[in-house]
Amino acid sequence: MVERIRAIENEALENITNAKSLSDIDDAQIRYLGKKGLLTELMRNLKILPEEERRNFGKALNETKIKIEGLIASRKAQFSAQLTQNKINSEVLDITLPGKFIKRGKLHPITQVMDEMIGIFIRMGFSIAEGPDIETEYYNFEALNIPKYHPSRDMWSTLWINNELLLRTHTSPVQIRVMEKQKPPLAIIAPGRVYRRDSDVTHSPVFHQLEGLLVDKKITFGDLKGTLSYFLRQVFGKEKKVRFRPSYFPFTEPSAEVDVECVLCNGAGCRLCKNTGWLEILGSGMVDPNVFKFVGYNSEKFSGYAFGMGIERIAMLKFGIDDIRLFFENDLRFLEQF
Amino acid sequence: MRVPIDWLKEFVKINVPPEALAKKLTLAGLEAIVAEDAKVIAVDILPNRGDCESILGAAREVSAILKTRLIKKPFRVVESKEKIKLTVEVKEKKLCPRYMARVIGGVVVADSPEWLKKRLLLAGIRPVNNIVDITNYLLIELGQPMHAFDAEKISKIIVRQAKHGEKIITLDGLERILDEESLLISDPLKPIAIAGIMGGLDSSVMPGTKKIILESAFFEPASIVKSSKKIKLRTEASMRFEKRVDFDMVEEALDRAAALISGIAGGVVLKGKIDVKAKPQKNKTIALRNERIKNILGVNINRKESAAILKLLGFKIKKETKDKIIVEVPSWRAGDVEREIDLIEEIARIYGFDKINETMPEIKAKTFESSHNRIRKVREILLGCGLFEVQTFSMVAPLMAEAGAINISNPMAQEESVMRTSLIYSLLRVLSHNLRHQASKVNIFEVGKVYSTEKIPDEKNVLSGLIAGGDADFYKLKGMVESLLQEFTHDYKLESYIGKHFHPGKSASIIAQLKIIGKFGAIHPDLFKNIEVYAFEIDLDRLLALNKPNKFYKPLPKYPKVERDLAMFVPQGVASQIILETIKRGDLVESVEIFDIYKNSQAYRISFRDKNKTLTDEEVSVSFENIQKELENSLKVQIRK
Ligand SMILES: [Zn+2]
Repeated sequence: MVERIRAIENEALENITNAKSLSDIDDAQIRYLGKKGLLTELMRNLKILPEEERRNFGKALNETKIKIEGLIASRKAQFSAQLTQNKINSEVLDITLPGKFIKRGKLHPITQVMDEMIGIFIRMGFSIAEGPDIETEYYNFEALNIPKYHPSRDMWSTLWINNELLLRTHTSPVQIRVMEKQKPPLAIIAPGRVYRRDSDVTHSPVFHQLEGLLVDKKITFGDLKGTLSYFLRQVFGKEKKVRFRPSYFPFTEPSAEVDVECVLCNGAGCRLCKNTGWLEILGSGMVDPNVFKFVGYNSEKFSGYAFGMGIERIAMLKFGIDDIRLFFENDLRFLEQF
Repeated sequence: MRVPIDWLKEFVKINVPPEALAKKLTLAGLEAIVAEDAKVIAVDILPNRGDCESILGAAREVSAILKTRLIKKPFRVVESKEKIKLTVEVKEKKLCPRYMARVIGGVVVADSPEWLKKRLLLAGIRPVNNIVDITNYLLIELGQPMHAFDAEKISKIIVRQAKHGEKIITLDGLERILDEESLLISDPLKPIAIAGIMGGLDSSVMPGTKKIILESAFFEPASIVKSSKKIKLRTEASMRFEKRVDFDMVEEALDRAAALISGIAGGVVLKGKIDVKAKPQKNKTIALRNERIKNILGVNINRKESAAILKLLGFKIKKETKDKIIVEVPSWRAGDVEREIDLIEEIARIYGFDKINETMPEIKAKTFESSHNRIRKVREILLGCGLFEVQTFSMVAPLMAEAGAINISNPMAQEESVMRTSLIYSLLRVLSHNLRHQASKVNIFEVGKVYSTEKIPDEKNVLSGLIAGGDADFYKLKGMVESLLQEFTHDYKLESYIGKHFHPGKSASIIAQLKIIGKFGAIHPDLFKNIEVYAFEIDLDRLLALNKPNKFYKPLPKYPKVERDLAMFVPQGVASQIILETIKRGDLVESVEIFDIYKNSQAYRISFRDKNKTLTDEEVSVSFENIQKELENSLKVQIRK
């Protein structure tokens, strides 16, 4: 009897080991363990054996059954792994074929740069203020301490509507409009379009500026330096050096031009920076007491700083663009690059 | 200004190489670079620093920056026994507070010596003849413009306002027609020079001129600005008068010129000089508080240090107390230093901006909202629709704006001469540009201002966009426009639009809160021919003013929906909106959408749901059949079974 079990076991193990496919295994399972399988048959014969024999025989039969079941399970797992592997092997894609784009548009590079800058100042606690493009001579010049027959007016080549109205030459009139309406403390930025009677590769009759104004008790030139250095390092990179250079604007005093280490040569000197190692980025200064007088602020009590910068210029430096007119031509091949 | 270094060295001791000097000047507010093999320093002079527009002026700055001594140039005028006989009458004392003159006889007009010519050329001035060259030389050296007249041609000098329509032929050979804005130098008969700007040709010094009148004057800056603007002529002289010359230098320059002329052109200086002067000008004094320096600059610069800096710049310290100093402004700074803050600036720039520590202000101002974030959202939605943002000029050609648009009085070009009244033309130009450059599909938008024709200044923010090429069609555009609108409101209506720019059969206006807030559709073929263009223009201010209702959560349905499809032939003139509304009125209908359109056949998918129980087939069929009957009866559609 035991020999018979051994014989079945050997045959089964050999069969299962040599099985060529999952269906061979299924066949073996039916042949040995199925309802009419060889082992099942023997199992049925157990009942008719005497007690003693039945135990030994049963034990041997059980061991054989576990062995065969175990082998079937592991061979099944092998085949199923093989099958998955075959499926995977047959499904390899050419991942270099192009993806199916859901084509998004892009923001104009000027908007991108403007938004980045606005974000920096908003996080510092500034709010956005606005003013009209068509300004009066009073707001654009007079109240900014630029008298009518003063040579400093030549700093802005102006497009005029009539004797009193003009296209604002800078965003600075917004300073006046805000101060006329609000008392200090005041922290505003004014982004917007400005206009000059100028046109070449670095000048456009239409361009954008971002203006800033902070007025409170005891605002100092040191504060101006701190704010603008922080801002410029955010825009141009933390490692960049920033330099403040005395300048002149009728509406600020002292006035400073702010330079950043050249983006191309890092200060070594090149064509872009005219060998100075520096790029002029923005104009700034402490609000001139005359400007405070125009808006009725007491300059003994309050002080403030103001600054303004051209967005196109900064965008040109950041993106390496050499002709300002590209911004307004709106060639899609240009816009797609940002 | 071009400053030849050798020339500069005659006025100030320089103990650093040119490159280092240029850098120091730059950091003190005189942007400078070294040029011409280090023979010249080219300096950008700030508009308020007329006093620096000369070798002497530059030397003063250098002396303050390097803390080295200024050098005085000695000279002597040898006068003849013959007395000057010249009458000068200044009728406009306010506009010409000082007029000086000397007369020099026996001059020989010829070429200048080489050294003089070389210096002028280095400074960027073209040599003419020795007399003119000497006046130019001193203009560069001292910053005082002078003019030489041929004395034989002048009997008397009158400084007066020009008469309307008065004419003069200037040195450059051009006839200038003047009016009251200009100040004239004239003799009893006719004008001989436009004061402070350019001399007349008739009375100019020519080869053969023997006797000259040398003029050195102070003209009021504003008067020269006006005059020069009016006749559209700006010269080295007028530029300096505009920025104000040194009242006290008028005389020294005249004497230096007389001495040089007699030395170089062999003239004899007549005894005496004319000096018609309004009341003598007194130098201004200003109080400077220590405390104030600290409050403005944020740095402690002690009284001694401030005083030392000011002295280096030629200011005089009249009085010093514990907390302030009283400062006298030198004559050459009368134009730009008038207040305490001006002194603080002087101190800051010589002390060095780089030595002032950076601090971060505590910002206490209240923040307020602007439309910026909401406009950003609009932009984001349109980017998601595949549109590229563009930026176009606010000025357009007259043909591209409505009648009555705001004109620019001095435009740079005709196509930038009118303020735009719509963005659509500008976008069509961008489209043309891109089509010319082989783009097959153009999807763009712009957020910008348009300018009213009725009221000035009245500016509106507008949002406009267009799609053309590729799969562009009315419904694609409509989808974009509505997905934008629905971010702001669901309470809007679309109506057929017949109006400017748009194809009357393919356009709609958007109505919200009883106002038209925009329109969209096909661009009228008259406006753009080559290709079908679909565009929209929305009043952004009105769009942003629409308040989207608060969002309230609705519980998710517990029971499943049942879907039924319904295909039908729709007769001409029955709008799908009516069909949709009819279906929606059906029992148990939750929603309905169109899923297929072919010619006049339309297919609708209807969802039925009961929120309290699972629907049975029979319940749905009853409603579905009622809907079909209603459609057939009231709208005459033919249901496809
Ligand atoms: Zn560089």
